[in-house]
Amino acid sequence: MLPVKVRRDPAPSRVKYRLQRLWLTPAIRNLVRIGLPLGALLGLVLSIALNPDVQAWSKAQTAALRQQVASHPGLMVTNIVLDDMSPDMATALKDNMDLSLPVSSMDLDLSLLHEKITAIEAVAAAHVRIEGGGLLKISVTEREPKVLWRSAEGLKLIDAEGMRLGVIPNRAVRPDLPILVGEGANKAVAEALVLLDLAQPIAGDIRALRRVGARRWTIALQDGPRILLPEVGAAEALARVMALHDADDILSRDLVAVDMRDGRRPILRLSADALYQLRRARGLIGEEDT
Amino acid sequence: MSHVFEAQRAMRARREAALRRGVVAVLDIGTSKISCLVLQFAPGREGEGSLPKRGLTHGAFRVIGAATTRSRGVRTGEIAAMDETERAIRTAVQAAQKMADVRVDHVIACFGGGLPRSYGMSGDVRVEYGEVSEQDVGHVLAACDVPDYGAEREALHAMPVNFTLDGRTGLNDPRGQIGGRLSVDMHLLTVDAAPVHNLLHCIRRCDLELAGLTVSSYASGIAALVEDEQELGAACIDLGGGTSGISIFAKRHMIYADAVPLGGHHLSSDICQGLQVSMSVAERIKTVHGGVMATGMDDRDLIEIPSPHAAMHERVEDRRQVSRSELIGVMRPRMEEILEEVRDRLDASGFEYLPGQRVVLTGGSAQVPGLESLAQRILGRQVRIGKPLRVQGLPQAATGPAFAAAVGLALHASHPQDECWDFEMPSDLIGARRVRRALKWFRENW
Repeated sequence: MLPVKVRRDPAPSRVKYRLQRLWLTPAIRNLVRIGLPLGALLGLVLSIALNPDVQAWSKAQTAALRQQVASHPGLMVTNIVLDDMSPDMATALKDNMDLSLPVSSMDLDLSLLHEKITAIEAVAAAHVRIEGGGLLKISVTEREPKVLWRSAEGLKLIDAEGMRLGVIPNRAVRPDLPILVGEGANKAVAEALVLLDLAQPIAGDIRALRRVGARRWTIALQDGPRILLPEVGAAEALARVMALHDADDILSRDLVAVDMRDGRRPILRLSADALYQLRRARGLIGEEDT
Repeated sequence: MSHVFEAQRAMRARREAALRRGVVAVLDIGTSKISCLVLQFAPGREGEGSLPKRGLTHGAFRVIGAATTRSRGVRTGEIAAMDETERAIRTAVQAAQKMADVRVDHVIACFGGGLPRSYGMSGDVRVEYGEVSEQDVGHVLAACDVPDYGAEREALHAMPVNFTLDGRTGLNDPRGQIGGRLSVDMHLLTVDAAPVHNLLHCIRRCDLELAGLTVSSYASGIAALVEDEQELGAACIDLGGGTSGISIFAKRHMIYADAVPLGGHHLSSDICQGLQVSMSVAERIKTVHGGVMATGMDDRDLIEIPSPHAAMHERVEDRRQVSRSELIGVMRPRMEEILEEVRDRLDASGFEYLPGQRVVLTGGSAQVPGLESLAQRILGRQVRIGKPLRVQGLPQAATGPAFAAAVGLALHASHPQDECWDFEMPSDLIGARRVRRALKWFRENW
């Protein structure tokens, strides 16, 4: 018998068989077919994106593009329009904003500008916006000075909320405003304004409101008594004083002080002469005593 | 009896798992070839007007992968060399998987060896509540007296073939009917345990799970017999390479199965010896020129036989010529022997008492020309050559009689017949009944 040609056995090896079965498993297959290319792509993109040279190049590229767009004449701001405001305010604004025109509206930080404007003491609220035709419109609500506060640094203008608006050299500049004196007076401006309002009938006589010990008010009158008001309920106390003044005209009397600090009764301090006259009138003191 | 069927139940559970996934492979392990079909099940593609689903029916399926390979290491339907068979199975499964482009984990296999033996059993039981319930069917199946088939054999099929209820016989499904006495005829098929275990191990070594095991004669019967034959009674003879399986069907049930350890390989070896040629040449001559009925024409029909020395030095005088009638003279006695053996087995089975006497020949060796008339003469019955039923997606190359077992296995996977272990046995219910009684007590007292 001749050697028979051995037929090739087409059987797959066990490893090949298992590999094929693994490949036919959907999860593995999807992982290799979709997950692997995706992962490679992601890695490639990441490696490019994290390269510093590429980052610098792309940054320069974006900056150039932005510059190109920002320098378009339609986006340039050429004029500032200040809505009706005092000339003082206008100069203060111009000093504060330090804008060099023309500037591109893309480079203009409106919120920063707004912050700068509101940082000015005399500005209560501001409105900044860019209008067509290269206009930057600024409208400002100014704070109104209500009182003067005399302190060691000089005469200051104070508004109703106690904000310092400026310093004036002397009283003659603003003779219409009442004067507050004393430490911490600016913190109680609202109360002082209420008191001043109550004391409207004697407004011409009021020389100043003194904050005593940063806790209570004393009203100093021209040629008249001081009115010492309590810490709490100052307005009611002043109202009583005004009622007494209406009825008995006490503020025109020869008094040194009307002390309202004791809530139960007003205490009047007479001047020495008046006390003497009173005692004499009551016959407490004889003629011979003088 | 239930302990016998534990392995079968496990296999059934796996088959259900496979069918839930929708993909299962069938593997026909034959002596001459191993073929693998990958089936895809499409539940819900059945028509609305079709019959309601009964039992483990899974309906329409489609063959999405098919592969056949030369069998290695299989002798008379049994695994003789584990490694080689494993490689052959791997080849077939891999090619079928590749064609299907899907991974299969569960296979349903059939094999022809193992000396299948049939037993008829009957059981008898009183119906508990007047109406036959599933439980009663389980009871009656459990009441069957199991013959002593030997320790080294395994039950492969145990099919309830016929139910009788109060004298009315021929019931397919007694559930829901009213009656007093229920009895059953069961067909138990056993095979040698060793080949089954070898097969199990072999399939496990291929990383596959066995989800069902049948004998190939049963599978070919399902595929090759048409419905009328199955209903009236017919025998299917699967002429394979190493074995020839016999299965007898009646009332759509297999009632008998047997196998003759003779097949096409014996024809080839006869040619090999009779004509002094090598085995592969003999195989080729058999398939190309073979036949079993000689005519006058065949004397003049000369077949060129390549010389065994041809490979070394080609010489004209070494060439031989054999007339076809000589070849037929070699093949015919062997074929007669096989058919006579089959006839003896059929006679022993009591096939002559069935209303239908049709014999269907299928399997690879049934393709020999002239076999039909020879078988008719020897078996004395109407004989036809049966090709398997056509199933969707099957490649043209796999539609011949040789693929009857594979196609039948696919049909079996899609419409399995009720087996004994599909019903709940009373011994399984003891624990459940106890729980149920406790629950009932709770419900009544709380």
